[in-house]
Amino acid sequence: MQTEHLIALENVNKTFSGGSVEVQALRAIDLTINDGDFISITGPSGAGKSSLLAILGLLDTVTSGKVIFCGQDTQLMSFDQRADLRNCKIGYVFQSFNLIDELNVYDNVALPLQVSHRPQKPKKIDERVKYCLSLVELGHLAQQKPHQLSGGQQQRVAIARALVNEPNILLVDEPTGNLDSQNGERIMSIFEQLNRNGHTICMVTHDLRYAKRATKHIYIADGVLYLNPDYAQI
Amino acid sequence: MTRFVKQCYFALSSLAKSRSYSLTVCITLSLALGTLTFAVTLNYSLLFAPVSQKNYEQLTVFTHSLKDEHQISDGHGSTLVGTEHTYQQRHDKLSDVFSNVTIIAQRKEAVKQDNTYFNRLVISYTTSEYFDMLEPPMHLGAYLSAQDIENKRPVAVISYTLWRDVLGLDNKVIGKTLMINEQAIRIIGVMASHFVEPYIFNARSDVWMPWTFHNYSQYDANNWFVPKSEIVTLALRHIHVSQFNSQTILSKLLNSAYQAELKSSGYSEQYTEFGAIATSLRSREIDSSKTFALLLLLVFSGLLIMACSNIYSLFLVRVKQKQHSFAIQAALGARRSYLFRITFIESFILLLIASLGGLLICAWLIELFKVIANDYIARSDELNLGALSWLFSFVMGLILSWVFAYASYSGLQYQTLVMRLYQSSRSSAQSSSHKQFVFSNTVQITLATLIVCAALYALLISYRTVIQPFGFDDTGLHIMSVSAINTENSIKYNEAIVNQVIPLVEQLDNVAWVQPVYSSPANNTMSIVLEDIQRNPISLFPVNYVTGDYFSLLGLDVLSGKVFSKRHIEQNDAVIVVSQSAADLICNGCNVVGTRVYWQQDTQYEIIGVVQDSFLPGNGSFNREQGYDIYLPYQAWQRNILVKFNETKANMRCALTRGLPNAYIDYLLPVSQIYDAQISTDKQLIVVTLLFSIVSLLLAFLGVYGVISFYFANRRRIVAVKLALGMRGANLIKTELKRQLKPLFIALSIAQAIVLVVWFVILNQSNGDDLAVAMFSSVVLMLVVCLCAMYLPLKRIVAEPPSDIFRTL
Repeated sequence: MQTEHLIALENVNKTFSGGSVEVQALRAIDLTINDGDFISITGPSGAGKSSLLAILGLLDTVTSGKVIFCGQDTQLMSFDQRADLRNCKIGYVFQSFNLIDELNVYDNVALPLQVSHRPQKPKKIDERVKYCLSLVELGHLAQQKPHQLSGGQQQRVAIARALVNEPNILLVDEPTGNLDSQNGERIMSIFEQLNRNGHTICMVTHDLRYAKRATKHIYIADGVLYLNPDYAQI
Repeated sequence: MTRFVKQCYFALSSLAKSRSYSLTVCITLSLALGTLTFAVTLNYSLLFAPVSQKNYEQLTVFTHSLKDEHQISDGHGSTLVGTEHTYQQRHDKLSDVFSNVTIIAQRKEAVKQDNTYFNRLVISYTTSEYFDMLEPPMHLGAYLSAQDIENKRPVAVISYTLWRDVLGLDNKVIGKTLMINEQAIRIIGVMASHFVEPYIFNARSDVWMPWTFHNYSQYDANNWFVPKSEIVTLALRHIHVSQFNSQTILSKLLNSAYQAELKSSGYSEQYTEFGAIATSLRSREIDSSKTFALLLLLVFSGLLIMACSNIYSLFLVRVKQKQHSFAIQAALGARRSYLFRITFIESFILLLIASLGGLLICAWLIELFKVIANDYIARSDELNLGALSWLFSFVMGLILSWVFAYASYSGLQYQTLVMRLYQSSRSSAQSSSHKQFVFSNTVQITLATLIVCAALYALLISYRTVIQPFGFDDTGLHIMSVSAINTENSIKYNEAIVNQVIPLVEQLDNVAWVQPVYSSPANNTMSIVLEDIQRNPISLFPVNYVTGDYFSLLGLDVLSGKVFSKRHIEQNDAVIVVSQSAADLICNGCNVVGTRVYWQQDTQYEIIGVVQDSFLPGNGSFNREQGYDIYLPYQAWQRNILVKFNETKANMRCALTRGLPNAYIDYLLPVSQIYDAQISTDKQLIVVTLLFSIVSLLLAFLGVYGVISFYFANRRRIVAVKLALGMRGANLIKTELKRQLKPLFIALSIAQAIVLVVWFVILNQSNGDDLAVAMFSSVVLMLVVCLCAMYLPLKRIVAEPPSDIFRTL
């Protein structure tokens, strides 16, 4: 009996066209992600890390190849089906946080539940938002606006938002890139704790100290993926 | 439901934060929707609204006229003999055509109660069938009965307005008397306030009296050739008889009765038969105002389209600003329908507010219209903010909110929306954005300049029509008309009155001078067609009959020749004095004194003098706005008196009443007031023009502002980068403004070229003085607006720290 992976990429290629110039961001990528994995993706700038994460998070489509999510080929899905998958099964933490300035912390965290095609009851939303905020120790700042928070706090709000819909996988883009070492350490501890609790995490970073703390390692250079790289060489 | 409420709350709070955007959208759409709702309400009320009057669609108004061999009628109006014949045949030869027939004659009469004269009241002389057919609701008392008519009982029914305004809402008014034409008439009924009187003669009746009290002479009663415009037959057609058939049958009846009389008259060569003209009551009431109402609908529909095109630009700016927020929500799993819903909710809230605002504007316009048009347009008093107005406003609001939401949402490009969150390269998008800007901005500014130019031109012309000064000093200048109380209208009697009044008025204190004239200088009610010596028509000229002193007293200089002497007046000589503009029209550049012209008949008139233009604007069909006046020697049958006095009108009235107890002063009005009344129709048009111009200007400016703001919303990132790299704010503004000036100048040039082509080539106009002013003003205004629209958003962006701009991108 074949094991069903959480996500499987099969011979994925991604090309960006800009006028007459074509840039191949990903070349023939094969990758499987299973429940409970904590994967780090590293590589030089422009190697294709963020493109890979966007494809894993169904934010972007592939030029060729297959993206199988929980056994379903996402290439065959409509926009709405892909939106539903993003909403229910994926938590995405953006490099620049992408919080909505007009909303306070509470509403930013509640957003995935509010935009959902199948909205939950307000009481349940409230419970879930408060729980996620307590996970990242921001319950006391629920009514603040994003611009009133520090970079580390904004990052934690983004993590809480990514967790609020109880996703199957957490995709994190450069979580420590904008933070000092103290805040970076704090964020990493949260991810480790989440992984110990059974969350699957896929993290893009170029900080090898944090990359090493993952359980599975991926290196990308010129769009080509290398599994379990030798960090000493890198 | 809770989620919907929350989304509404978010949309409201978001709109509250963008106050200038929300206000602009709401005010613009309120104006456009309000004016259009008013036009729709007016059109519905005039053309389609069911009327409370029973059998309204079968009610038909008949007049009679003589027709020549080509079936061309000699005009309109009814003869007394034909009308009475029709009425008499209602139960006999016409019983298959009409179920009921009545006669109505409407005249102004002097009415007195308790020795006090009212201003002349409008009396309708009619029969009991009038009440049977219309079944008017009564406030007090009863209808006129068939016995009242037959027995010539001195009774009357009065209007609610007369009862309220003149008789002081006296509940015991039934049985009291009014003196009408020196005869005591007993009031037997008061119409209810909601009675909608058929608007047949362009005046509302104050009193209804038995037909038998009409004081037409026996000469009128027997003569087929004296049509009276104030008499009509109102008939209720059987439902199976068409209007055309009823007209044919009535014509046949009249011909069979009076053909012999026509043949034996001296008119048989000119006229071959009698013809009845049937007009449905609805047409009679609304035909004159239908064009106006439809024009209004067209103009305001155009305004709404303009408003929508402008608001669309603002919606695009808004969506652009919210793109980041939408992208995040899409990345978090929001479906397209969700994003559309939140766009729609925001749009719907704005349109709901705009619809309510529009209804307020509509209500105000209705009240304004009732004040302006109540005496001119039938059924204007029925106009109200009814269910249709509410429905139209809200349905339009709903449709527009959906259209705006859908159009702006379509610009979001859901497919690529989320990619923007992690892709950094935007150069290709920016370059296409600039090309789009140059195109859309050029088109928008060109259109806006054309609209502004047209609106300014319309404003200029309207302003000239109303403000153009008199060519003489009108201080204390009044026109009055005097007649005998018993309205026998004997020419000799009236002549005597005039001859008594003039010496009397001359003796009064504070009177500068008195002159008999045919019309007020502000209102020449008669016009004639002058023909040259070869009998070719020159033009239609307004005419006044005056004495030689008229010109010197008004201060109108004699430019060449002379004016009327006493001999000209006494001998009724065939001489004419013309104004300077009229002289130019008759013979441009030459001396017209001594020129001979024809006027209607075969008599040649000699032009003996040219006087200064009085520069009176007025009814365009009479060429008054050009000052084309001609003057004929005063004749004794006129009974208007032009008087200049330094006294209150009331004192003058008292002095006249004391001096002339047997005369009735029809009116004593300042010339300026006559003039105001004369241009009341123009004023209606001017109100519409003014409204159209102001809204057009606002929309044009808003459109330009919207497009330019949209462009700068797209350029925020570039501006932020330049600022972050250390460019000074002032330098940045200067550079960006220079960049935008090119499309601005291109657009202004294109617009001016279009205006010139349309004016000189398509419309083939030669005089462009007003147009030049409008063109120059429109260029200046558009430059100011465009520079403001460029400068203000730039200034706001420059004032922000670049980091804030980056964060919101």
